Amino acid sequence: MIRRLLDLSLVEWRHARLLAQAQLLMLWRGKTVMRSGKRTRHSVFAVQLWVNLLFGALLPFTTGMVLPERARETVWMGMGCLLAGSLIAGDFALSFLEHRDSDILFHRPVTSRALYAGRLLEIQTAILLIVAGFFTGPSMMGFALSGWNPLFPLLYLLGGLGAVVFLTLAVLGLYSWLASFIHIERVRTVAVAVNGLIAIGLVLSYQTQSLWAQVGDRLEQERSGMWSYLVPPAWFSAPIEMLSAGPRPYLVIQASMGLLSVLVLSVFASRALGHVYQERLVRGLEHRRLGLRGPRRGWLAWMRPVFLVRRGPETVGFELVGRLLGAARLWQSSLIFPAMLLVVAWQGLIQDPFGNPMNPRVFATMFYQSLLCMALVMTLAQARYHPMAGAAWFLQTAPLARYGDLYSGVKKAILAMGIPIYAGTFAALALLWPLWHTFLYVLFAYVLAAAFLHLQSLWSHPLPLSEEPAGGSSGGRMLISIMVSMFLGSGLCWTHTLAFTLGTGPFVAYWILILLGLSIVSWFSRWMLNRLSPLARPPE
Amino acid sequence: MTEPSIDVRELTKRYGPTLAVDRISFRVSPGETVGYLGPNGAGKTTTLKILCGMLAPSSGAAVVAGQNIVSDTIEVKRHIGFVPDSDALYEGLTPYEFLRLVGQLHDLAEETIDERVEFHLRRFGMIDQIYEPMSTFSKGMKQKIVLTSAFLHEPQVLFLDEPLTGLDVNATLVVKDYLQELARAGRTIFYSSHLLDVVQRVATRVIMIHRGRIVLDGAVQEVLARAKEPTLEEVFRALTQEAGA
Repeated sequence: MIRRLLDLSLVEWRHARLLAQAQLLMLWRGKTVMRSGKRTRHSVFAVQLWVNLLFGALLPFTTGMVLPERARETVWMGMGCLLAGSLIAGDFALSFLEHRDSDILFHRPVTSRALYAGRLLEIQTAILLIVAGFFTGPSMMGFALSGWNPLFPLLYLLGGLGAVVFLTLAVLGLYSWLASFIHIERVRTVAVAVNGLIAIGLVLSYQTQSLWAQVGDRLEQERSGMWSYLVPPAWFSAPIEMLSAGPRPYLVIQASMGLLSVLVLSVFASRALGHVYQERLVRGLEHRRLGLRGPRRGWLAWMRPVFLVRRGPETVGFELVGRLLGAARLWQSSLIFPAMLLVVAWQGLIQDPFGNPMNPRVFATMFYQSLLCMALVMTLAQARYHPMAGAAWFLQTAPLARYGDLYSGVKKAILAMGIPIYAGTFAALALLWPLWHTFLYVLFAYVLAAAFLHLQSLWSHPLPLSEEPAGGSSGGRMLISIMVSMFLGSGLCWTHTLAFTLGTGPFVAYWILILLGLSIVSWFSRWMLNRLSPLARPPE
Repeated sequence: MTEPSIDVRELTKRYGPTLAVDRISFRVSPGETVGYLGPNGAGKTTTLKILCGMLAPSSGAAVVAGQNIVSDTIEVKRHIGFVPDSDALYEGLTPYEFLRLVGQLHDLAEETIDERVEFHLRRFGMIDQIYEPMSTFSKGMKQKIVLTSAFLHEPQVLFLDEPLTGLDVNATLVVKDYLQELARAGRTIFYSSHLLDVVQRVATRVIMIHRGRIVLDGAVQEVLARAKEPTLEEVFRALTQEAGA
């Protein structure tokens, strides 16, 4: 039936299935990020599955919302969390357009529709697996709370999975449609920025989730109102709501709309966008061949004196970031943290210290802020590897006696790119808060990001600049890095708040200590990296 | 008269303002092995990708294996094998999984796939690595798998873009022998390479392209005799310098 709906011939359907199977197999094996024991390896995808299962299991405890009579809220909130994941999935699907698949598949007798359908199948299966993990915990909890009604987990999973399929297809369709007008690189930039903001806004901010649920609560009062026919979450929460409210006509209509929307989107995505897929890919190849998006040279150069970049390797490192295309990703990554500062400020959770008493939820917020710092560090690290890993071969063969100097230039360039972004954040917040408070708030965030960048370079340095085996799993090091960043971040946030409430003296002293600490971390990072130079090693 | 395997007429490809291929025309008969030569950026890979249905021509026409490359792209792809200049593979799969996928995409029967995979991998000395992940393979090993994937469905026309990259001496000999076998069996081989000594030994005819235009087309021995040069390398140097002047 699906095959007929998508208007695929038997051969195309077979090809789509084969391609999806192969892609899923590769996704499952993926890049090893963690090891347990000598033989067991876990790919990014596998780890993601486990993490989602864990988060899903924790969700009922953190929200207390899995009750049959509050089914709609639960699905709404699940939707909030999953919206981010689905958006990212859409972006992930887009990456196919850039993949080397062109050389592998485009000369095979496979239609572009079959290729596209294969990709859709793969993405949807992967998403469903991940999401099923996420929803299993709450559905089991709800199962118990609903007096072991077997329909509860079934309808809960059905609604949740339907919502995710709908979201993924909608995002994928939207991006592919955009790609038929603008170059895929630009679509990707938009996708990464939007996904990053929504994902972090929804998933990491506990308060945003509550806000999401509150909106659902208020709208709940008008269950059968016109809004419920227009808002997708209502369509997908309708099946489970029928458990408590019975099969009311408006719920049946809403559930049908959910089903219909998934079918329409599936057909649209496969039938209407198949041709876009191949055309864009081919055009993308042509653009790449000519290097139409050439590197922007020296665009960071004006920042050099501000960051006191020394001549020699340090300037080389600084310029390297500016010249490589990967720098565009750094911009996108650097947007995340300031955007979160704005989200937190917008919600009014950081109270104005001149006006209101400290909100009891501030500590929690600060804690989450440290998570945001962590997110920033992770994305920075990822972006940092991108240009550096590609450049590793010539860095290793270049007559550089001290890697630390070169790397120091790279880090300064990354920090330099943050300046305009943080300045923009400062300008936006200054409209809401007193100037000094805003300045310190943004500066503190910037200093935290800088400190984590230095720490991160200590933990991950062998990867971009050395051909030596990493000596253990990179996932393990990343995990340690995350944990340390998380605790250090929350500690710093807490002491920052404390010093602020104690008065000007302690606050100034705190800042002196912070800057001193940053200098020590920076110096130590450079010292460690300089010791790594392969040229300094005795020949074996 | 035998119908040509490749029939190219006034083929042109533009990338924005750049003319990559400029009104080229040639015919290749079944059983011919053609060396397609030219300096970097001459338009060799672009021609190959157009003939394989991976890129659309800006103007002109081409027929491969009796099928129009624009209107019957899928049919063309059924009858061709292509070895790209990159070692493009799904490295997350094993050779067997990858080659099986390729065979299935070409609608080969399971037994045929198994038979041919075993045959080619044995020739390349790769049979012991058949179930190992390709992510651990060297460049040459990956190239052997790419070559096998192009040979697997026994295509009528083979397009090869630098097929010997990274191969060791034994593997190079295996490929050369196999190409000669295929040519004897009436298959057409369109061979793009910078290794002119190999082309001189393998090809019966050479086409030389420079700045998107064909500057030479003829049988290898004729070309050498006409140019009064002992090797294709000398002919290549003379022609590209002349055209560049």
